[in-house]
Amino acid sequence: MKNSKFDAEKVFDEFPAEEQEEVRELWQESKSAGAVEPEVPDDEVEQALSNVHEQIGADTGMSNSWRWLAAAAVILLMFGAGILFIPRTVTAPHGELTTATLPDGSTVELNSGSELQYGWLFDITNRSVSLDGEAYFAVQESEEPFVVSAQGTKVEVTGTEFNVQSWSANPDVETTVSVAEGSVAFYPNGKQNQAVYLMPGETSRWTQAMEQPSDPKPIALDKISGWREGKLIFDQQTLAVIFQELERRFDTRITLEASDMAGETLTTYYNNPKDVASILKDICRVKGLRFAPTANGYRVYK
Amino acid sequence: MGNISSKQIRNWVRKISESDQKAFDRLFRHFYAQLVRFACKYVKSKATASDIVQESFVGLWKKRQTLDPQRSVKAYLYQTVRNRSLNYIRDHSKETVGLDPLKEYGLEAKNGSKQSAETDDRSELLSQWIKELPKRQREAFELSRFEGLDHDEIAEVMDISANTVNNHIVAALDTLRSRSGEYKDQAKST
Repeated sequence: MKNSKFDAEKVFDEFPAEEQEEVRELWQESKSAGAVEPEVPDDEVEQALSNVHEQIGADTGMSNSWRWLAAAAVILLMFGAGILFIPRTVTAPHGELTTATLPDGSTVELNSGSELQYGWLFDITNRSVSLDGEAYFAVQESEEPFVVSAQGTKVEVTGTEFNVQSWSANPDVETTVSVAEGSVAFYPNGKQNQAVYLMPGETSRWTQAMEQPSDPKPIALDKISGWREGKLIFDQQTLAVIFQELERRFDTRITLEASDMAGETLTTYYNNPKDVASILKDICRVKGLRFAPTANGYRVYK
Repeated sequence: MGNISSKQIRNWVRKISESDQKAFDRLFRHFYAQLVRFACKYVKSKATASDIVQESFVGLWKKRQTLDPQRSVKAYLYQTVRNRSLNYIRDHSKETVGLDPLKEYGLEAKNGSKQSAETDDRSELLSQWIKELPKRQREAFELSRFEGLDHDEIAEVMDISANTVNNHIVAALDTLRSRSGEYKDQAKST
């Protein structure tokens, strides 16, 4: 389809220069002069759609009914086995990254300490997953939207690559979504009308205190998913968040005894971090702290 | 999702041509309300307009195997709804044969052009002026501004060339410009 902006310019070109401004203004204004009546409420649309279904009934493709039949069969089997309500879970243990392929062919890479859950009806009646932690999704294209639920937010897509970071351990209940390919809708639960639409190379974050997710902001693609190659990337992060990430990544315990420093922020980048002690050494030097090993990890103090 | 891209719509059409009813339902939900409003401009009755739009979608489903995903399904739908609406007028309103259905609807919707200057609401004035445009100009202009079709799509819907579409829209805009100018002069002199 052609760009309608281009069409509009073709129209404006026909007018002499002194009329251009007026014509453009009328053009803008006339957009909202269109009829908004009669109103067609959603229930009328659904009624009309079911009329149409009746008329095309005999001609209908079987694909839909088959899906429901399959779903019913799965439900029966599950009841038999009594495991219908136990979600399927993929986890990445501390110190490891995990890659999983979902039943619909989408792939998910999980950062250390992350957990992804989905129901037994995934790819049969829905494509919904829930996430605690950080994951990079490469979603198989399909008409059925792929929905990620994370701490009171939803990310909805049809086929794209994006990163969701939403650690329940983070006290701010913060969720950050960044897109590498395609586009996604990001919104707090039940507030789909406040969705923020993200394009490739854009990021948006939401915390409980916010009415709607932040406006899209550009982000370098390697920052979105550097963790997948084992990089450590902290952009204006608090020490509390950084230490949590180090704990997960290196499967260790870090106790911040100088608790007044928890909110101090730091920006730092490790391309190939090998051991947690050298990172702690850097952080402590910058922030005027000291650290010492304990039985199961490290303590950080003034 | 609010923003449905043309890529998404092409994707639906591809699925519909493979008899995917779910994609058909999505397309229906996306276009139904705006097509009913569009048909209403011709047939003046919401019930009739709804029937026409539903029939058009039934027709689309029947033709699904021969749909070309490269062609604009939006243009196809508007074209079908427009043709069915014009046929309906031709078949059902003997009294209005020879009359301009668009114009008549416009006159009915608002209480006549003479009073238009009494209102101060500029967008109401503007919509009144648009209704008083010559029929073809008005159709092309409305398809462009209200329905968001590009010139090639409008050309298909109205069965004219894209160049003629451009001419109609330029003429329409020029009329609106001079009416707006008259109105401003009038306002100054009072």
